[in-house]
Amino acid sequence: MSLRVKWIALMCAVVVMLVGMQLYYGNLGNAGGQSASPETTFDWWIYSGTSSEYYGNYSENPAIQYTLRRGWGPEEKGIALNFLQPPPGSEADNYSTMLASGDLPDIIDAVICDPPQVMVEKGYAIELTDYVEAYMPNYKALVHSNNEIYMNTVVVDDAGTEHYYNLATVYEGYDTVFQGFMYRRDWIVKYGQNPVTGAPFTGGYTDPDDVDSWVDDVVFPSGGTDPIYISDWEWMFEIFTRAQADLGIAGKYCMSLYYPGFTWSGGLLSCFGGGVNVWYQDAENKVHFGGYEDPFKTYLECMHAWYQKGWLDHDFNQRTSDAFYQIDSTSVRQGMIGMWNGQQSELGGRLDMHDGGYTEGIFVAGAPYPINDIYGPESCRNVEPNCVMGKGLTSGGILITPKAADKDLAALCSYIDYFYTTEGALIRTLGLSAEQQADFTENTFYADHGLHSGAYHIGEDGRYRKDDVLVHDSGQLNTAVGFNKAPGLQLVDSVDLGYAATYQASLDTWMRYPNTGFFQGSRTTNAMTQQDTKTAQDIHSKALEYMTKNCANFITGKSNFGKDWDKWCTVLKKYKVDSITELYQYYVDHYPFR
Amino acid sequence: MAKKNAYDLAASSRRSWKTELRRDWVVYLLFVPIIVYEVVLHYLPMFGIVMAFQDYNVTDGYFHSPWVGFKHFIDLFSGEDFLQAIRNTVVIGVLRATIGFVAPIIFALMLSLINSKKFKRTAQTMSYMPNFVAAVIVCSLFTQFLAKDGPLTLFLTKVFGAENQNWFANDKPPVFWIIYTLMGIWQGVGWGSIMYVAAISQVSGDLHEAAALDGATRLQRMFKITLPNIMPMILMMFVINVGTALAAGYDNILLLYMPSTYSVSDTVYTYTYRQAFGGGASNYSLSAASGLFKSVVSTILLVGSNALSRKAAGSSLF
Repeated sequence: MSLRVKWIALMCAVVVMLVGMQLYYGNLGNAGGQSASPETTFDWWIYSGTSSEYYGNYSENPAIQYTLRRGWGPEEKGIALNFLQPPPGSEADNYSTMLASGDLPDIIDAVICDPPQVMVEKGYAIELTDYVEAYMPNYKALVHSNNEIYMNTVVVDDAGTEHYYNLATVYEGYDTVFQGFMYRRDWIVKYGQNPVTGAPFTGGYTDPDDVDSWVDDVVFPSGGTDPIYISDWEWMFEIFTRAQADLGIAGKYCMSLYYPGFTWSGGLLSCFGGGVNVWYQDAENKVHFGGYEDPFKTYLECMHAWYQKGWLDHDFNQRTSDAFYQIDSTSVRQGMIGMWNGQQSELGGRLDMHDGGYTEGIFVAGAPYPINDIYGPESCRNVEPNCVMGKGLTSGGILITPKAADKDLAALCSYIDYFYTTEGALIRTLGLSAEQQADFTENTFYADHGLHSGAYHIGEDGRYRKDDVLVHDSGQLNTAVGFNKAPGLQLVDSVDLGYAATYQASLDTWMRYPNTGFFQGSRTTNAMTQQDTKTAQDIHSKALEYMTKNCANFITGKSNFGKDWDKWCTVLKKYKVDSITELYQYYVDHYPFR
Repeated sequence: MAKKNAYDLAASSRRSWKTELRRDWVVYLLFVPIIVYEVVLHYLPMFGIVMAFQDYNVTDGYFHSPWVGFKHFIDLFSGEDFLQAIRNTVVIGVLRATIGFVAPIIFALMLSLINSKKFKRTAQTMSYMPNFVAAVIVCSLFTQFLAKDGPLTLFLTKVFGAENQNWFANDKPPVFWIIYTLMGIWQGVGWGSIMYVAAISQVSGDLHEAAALDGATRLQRMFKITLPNIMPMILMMFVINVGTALAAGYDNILLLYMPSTYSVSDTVYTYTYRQAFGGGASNYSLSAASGLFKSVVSTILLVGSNALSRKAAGSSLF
């Protein structure tokens, strides 16, 4: 082959490659936006897409394609959506790079960003008040229908003017959380005794094939059927220890902890009369720094006592790569642990491997956060937890960036507003109805996945019930059929998820105490100025670094509650945490979130 | 002919750069991408150093963020965490520049003593392999092997009576440093020996033959012939090693350390990373100050070790 022929062949190969790449990526970028005549395309950065099992790009979502078939806004113009999805695992890096480079999309999923007001101040987002007023009557009505929703979505300035900085997702009611403490109730039945009569407990599955069909006569020392107090937990731990000894489970523990020795959002720590390890507000709306207060010390004393008794995982602070709701999940899934912080999918008999191992006959029940009735001074006892993981009536939603300012925002806002109507809320929460699917024959996604009469139907009680295919799906089909990345009304109370009574009871225990003290990420901190946010974050980071490094030592006994505790308090005060307490107090007073 | 060559050299040294460029433009053209690469990716980003002297925020950027002088350096050196990180960096750097540096030389010398070419090639190839394993996998392997129930831990416990523990969670001073150094040796000994193996292969066989005839043993030949011959290469590599001792390879620590072992494992690199991308608010300025400090020290070490090498052995990198 001559040199010239080689050159021509090489050039042809390069051209083919370039054309191929253009076609491929061009297709990826414009996979969505199937409106009849799209006139404006909006780039929408979403924190995460959906499982690639269903589609490669989120714009292939059937609910999106259905809603984009018509025009939006006063002139009923078509719009198209181009979703930008960061590679899984690098979402935060992708977000930081996007902001640092100034290469903004039109819409940002407000999952990990600064408070909306700060984002507007920084120039990453635009104020939306005029658009809400003009094109979003449903959103505005919903926001004004409930005081909590209003407080967390609208910023009112000193002149009394309302400002909308983001378009939040609004919940119909308080939704259940996906994780919480849970314990092996079957061990309580098998190895425990009635604390009053001393009689052994009885219980078991009524239907061997139904993982939720559990009944028993378990009574806790506090008199109820759920473990409410720390004393109930300790009573359980003694039973778990007996169970592990009887089953020959060596070197294990009753419960583990997140590796620093606490969780950022309170949780177990807030069961000792205080809130979180950093700033929280009490019942009188007074802001505290929890890190050097009695409740935190009492919490650590309790954990230290559990550690000494062998109830607490001795290797907890080595499990740095475990998520706090998946600590030592191997031991949990092997049925060796009595209590843990887990997810919905571990409730009931779902962990039973049916292999004759430790999970044989397992029944996992949810436990509420316990109330301390044993440790510390009186002020730390018998106080309900106030900083617990729970969902409010609003969540992040989206921000619109300056890049979209010159685009047809009237059409976009009208489109988004649709998802605050009942019809739109059903599409974003559940998916298409049977009628909508029938009207959308050009898309076969539903039929391809076994859905032949829509994603839901209306039950006898008037509530919406998901199709059985979705109820029994163990993958992510539920999220693939609706448009839950869009802000809108999230239906909660009007949806019957078809949960069994025992399963629902477990979910309810996690919602037993409302969050009244943890104000991070709420309207309170959302109202903070950019400078105040930075000042608070700088000191927060320093304090958190110190606590993360040293807290576990109090639990393991390397540090004592005398001189070492005094040093701990001194160091934290040296970081000027009290100045931030005063700063937060100003915002709590002016922008309460509850 | 010899005279002409001498004349050519003298003429060449007198030629202006324009003449040089006109004559060897193809060679210079080939060098352009390298210059562009260096300027764009290494020199232009140096402008970011200004962050260390600013209260930098992304919105205001380099040109509008307020100047704060040496505030971040004062913050760095007044906090015990950074001083601890410096100590750990120096200790690990010294271990890497000594034990870690010597290991590939010993390995190369050992290879040079092997007669069987087949065995030698196999040993070489096998020693290169760990270098191509991703850091995450290497760290994961070591974490598993040295966990409380890991095979290496059980071996140490049963054979040597060592305490059964997760060795990476041990915060006593020498443990993490030793494990980390040994891990680096395992991963890099083969790859690091390539230069030495190549240098050894250039040593004249006549010298060895003559020494052997004079009755020198293999060990004596290694010390009296091989080692002196590859000394310039060793010194050059030493200079490079010292210069990069504070910077290279610390990404593995990010995968291995935990808050309870920060006292022995936190280095300037990991400290810098945590400040910039850690769990709380990102402090890019403090991170830039820390990175600048590290770079200045590295440069001093590089220049210093180069000067030392020139003075002690008459051989230097630049």
